[in-house]
Amino acid sequence: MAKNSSFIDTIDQIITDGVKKGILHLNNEDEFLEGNLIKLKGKDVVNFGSCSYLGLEFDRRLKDGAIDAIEKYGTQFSESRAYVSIKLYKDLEEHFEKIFKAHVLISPTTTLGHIAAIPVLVSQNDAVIIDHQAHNSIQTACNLLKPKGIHVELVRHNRLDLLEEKIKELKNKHEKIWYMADGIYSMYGDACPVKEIYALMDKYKELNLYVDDAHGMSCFGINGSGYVMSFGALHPRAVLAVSLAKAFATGGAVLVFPDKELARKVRTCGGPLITSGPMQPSALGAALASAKIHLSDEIYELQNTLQDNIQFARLMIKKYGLPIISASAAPVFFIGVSLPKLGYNMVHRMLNEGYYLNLGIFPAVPMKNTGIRFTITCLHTFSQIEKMIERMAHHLTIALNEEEISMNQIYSAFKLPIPSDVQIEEQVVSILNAGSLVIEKHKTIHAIEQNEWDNLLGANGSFDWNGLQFLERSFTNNKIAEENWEFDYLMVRDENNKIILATFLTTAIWKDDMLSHSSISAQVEEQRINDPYFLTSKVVSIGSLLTEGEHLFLDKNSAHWKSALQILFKYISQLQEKYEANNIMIRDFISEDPEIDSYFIDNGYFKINMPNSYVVDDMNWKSTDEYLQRLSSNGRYDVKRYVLRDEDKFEVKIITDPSEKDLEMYYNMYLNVKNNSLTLNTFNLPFKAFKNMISLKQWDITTLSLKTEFDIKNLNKPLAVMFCYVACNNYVPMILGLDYSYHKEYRVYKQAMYSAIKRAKNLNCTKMYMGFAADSEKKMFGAKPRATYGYMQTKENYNLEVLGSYNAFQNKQSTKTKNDIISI
Amino acid sequence: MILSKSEFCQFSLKAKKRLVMEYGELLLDRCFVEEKVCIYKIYEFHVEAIYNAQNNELIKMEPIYSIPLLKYYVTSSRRK
Repeated sequence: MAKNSSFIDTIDQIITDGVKKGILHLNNEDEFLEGNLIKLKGKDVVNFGSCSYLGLEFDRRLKDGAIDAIEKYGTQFSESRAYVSIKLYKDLEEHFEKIFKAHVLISPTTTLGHIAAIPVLVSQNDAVIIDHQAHNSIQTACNLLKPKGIHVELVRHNRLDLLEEKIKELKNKHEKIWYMADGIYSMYGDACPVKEIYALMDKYKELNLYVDDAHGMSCFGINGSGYVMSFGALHPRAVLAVSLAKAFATGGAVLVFPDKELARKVRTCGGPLITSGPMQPSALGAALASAKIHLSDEIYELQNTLQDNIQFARLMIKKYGLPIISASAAPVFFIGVSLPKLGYNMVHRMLNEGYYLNLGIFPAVPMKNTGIRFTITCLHTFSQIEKMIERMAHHLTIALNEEEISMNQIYSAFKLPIPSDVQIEEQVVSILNAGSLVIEKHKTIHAIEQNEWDNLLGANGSFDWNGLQFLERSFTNNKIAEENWEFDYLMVRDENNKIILATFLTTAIWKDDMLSHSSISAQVEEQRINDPYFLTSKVVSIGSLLTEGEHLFLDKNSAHWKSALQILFKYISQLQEKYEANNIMIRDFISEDPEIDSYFIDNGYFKINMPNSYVVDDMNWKSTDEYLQRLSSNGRYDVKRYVLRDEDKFEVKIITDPSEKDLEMYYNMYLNVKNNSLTLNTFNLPFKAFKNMISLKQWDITTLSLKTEFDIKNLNKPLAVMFCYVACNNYVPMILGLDYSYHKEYRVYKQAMYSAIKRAKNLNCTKMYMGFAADSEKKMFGAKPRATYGYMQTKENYNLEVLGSYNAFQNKQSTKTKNDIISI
Repeated sequence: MILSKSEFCQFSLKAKKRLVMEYGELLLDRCFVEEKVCIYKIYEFHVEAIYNAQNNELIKMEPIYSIPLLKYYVTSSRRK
């Protein structure tokens, strides 16, 4: 799935939801701050969201340093450092050279530091590999490299085995390979394996390291030089960036270089260091005071106090049985809650109890890996820490119950071993809570009564009972992995046997770029030449890759519709585990429903816009003239000009029993179209599916050929073939094959569409589903676009991130094809 | 949530002092020539804290394992 504009919409949707729920974009109301209490919504709460880990922000010496600098130099020194730097800069850099025992540069923020350093450090012939959980600011800076054509790719988090594989692959093609990582990762608080990376750097001379140690600075290392430097002197091929806006408590950032020349080059050429404003006197004055503390033994007192608090917090978390996600010595903690609705609930409850904690939510973590993130500082007392954790454990039990989530689900979502007492408790609860709804699960459509299914979903597209029978026969027992789908059916009834929910699900391998821009798919396909399953994922989806329409029957008039959806969510999660699928897709919703939106988001799904689907729903005409009158003036003109003008030159045949040879020809015509368009990038359909179409009367096969007298190239074969599904008065052209021999002379695709409309009319169909894409052609024939959307959930975002990294190339090579026609 | 003796012992001396100040209760203190001894109750056990009598610096803080030692402290106080 593409990480495109709808990805921004998704973030907007989720953050806005959090703002509405009163837990994001908050403002404190204190007139004066001292200690770790902040006033939010009229109430003093203990702040467990601060990254000022050593509590130095209230230190008298830092405040005096800032005041003194303002007194001496004013509130700002507004001049680019390319021209003149205020004296405090030189003093401060001298202090940092003592702290890091290396060459340093000061930057106003870490983000600007990355933007200054990375484009200078990485040369045209280098390659960049980014840990996919590296901070967004590093990824933003690396995006600047892509337009230059520099090789940039992601690697799974802390997977040095995969990093080594990539080094081997890239080292002969590139001068240097840069690995970009964090010292302490900001969301889960886990650490970079520094020793092991240094060992790799010793093994491969091409490997260089760029590491952002924002959360490690001050908390670890000699003179508070950070987590990375707690392993000894900086590696000669490593560059370090640290933030001064966390434990250092002053704002700003420092870049640390192994040699003077590199530091000089970044100072001279790093964009923001030339053109952006400098750090201001107040921050520089405070930083000088903080640096002096770092150069004294006092820093170790502070580090020890912080470690005591971290150790105490870990012990309390263990004793209260909270599901903590990673275990490191960092002051960042992440308690897993799995779904956003539980996260919102918990943050709310804790705020009411007097504790402010962060919500760790998409896109920082996958939707299903939502959690409560909190930080520990030197300002916390043991009793504050214990009471907060005790309250969290207390409320987690209540909130789990309210949101109908089990501890088991949380452990599963984070792939953590489930404690035995949690497993037993889960079973007890499920037995006690068994409701009045009746759940039917089936593996084949044959287990469901045909009339019942067709009455619920038969008229929505090509997935009536017979259509599903066809799909089951065509997409099972095949040799190729992507041609084998798992089929599952779910029906939920109320106590009166009335259906509340019904749907079918398929589990199959999808191309992750299915909905991406075709230029992105073109690049991905290049990689698939050597690795056919590159950027593919197993997906549990409502509906299938060959069907369109509303696949979910949900009776929202029932009082139990939410419970029925909960059953669906649980069932899908079970299927996801069973089939080891990464993604879940609940798709083809036509009408906007804010209640459904909110319900899906709370349950860990994000909304994605699918391409418009096209439907001709006015088939109530008796003649060509009447039909033309229903079209727009442009449509009427185009149909007359491109279709009716040549209509008599074509012969339309209804095919009932094609020979094997003809069927192979039709299949190749389908491949012509398929290989010519990446608009909806899917795997090829198996030939077996075409064979199965012949034996099912619902499939209407038509061909379009030039009459002999107009076939001047003597092709003597069809130029178009269409496989259309007919059910419940619907006509669904699903597969199109074309021969492009007369592409320049005739608009064969348009002729085929027009003949399909006429065929639908002859069969007395009242609706025609024309599928996705080829928008303008379909509009021309009077098809109406229907905005279609779905809800998606991913176990992990890695493939989405990798796909997102292709976006910058979007316009590099345009691969717009002759036709944007696809058989879905 | 209570800590066990072994969990308490895992903490640094400074943290033990903070734990005792936040969660403990002073039961008795006795001054000797060079040391001051305090007995605290914390959670479900007792700790012995030894301070330098001159500068009041905490030297040691451990759970009491030895009953004779505790008796000695108590009787010392009686003698006084």
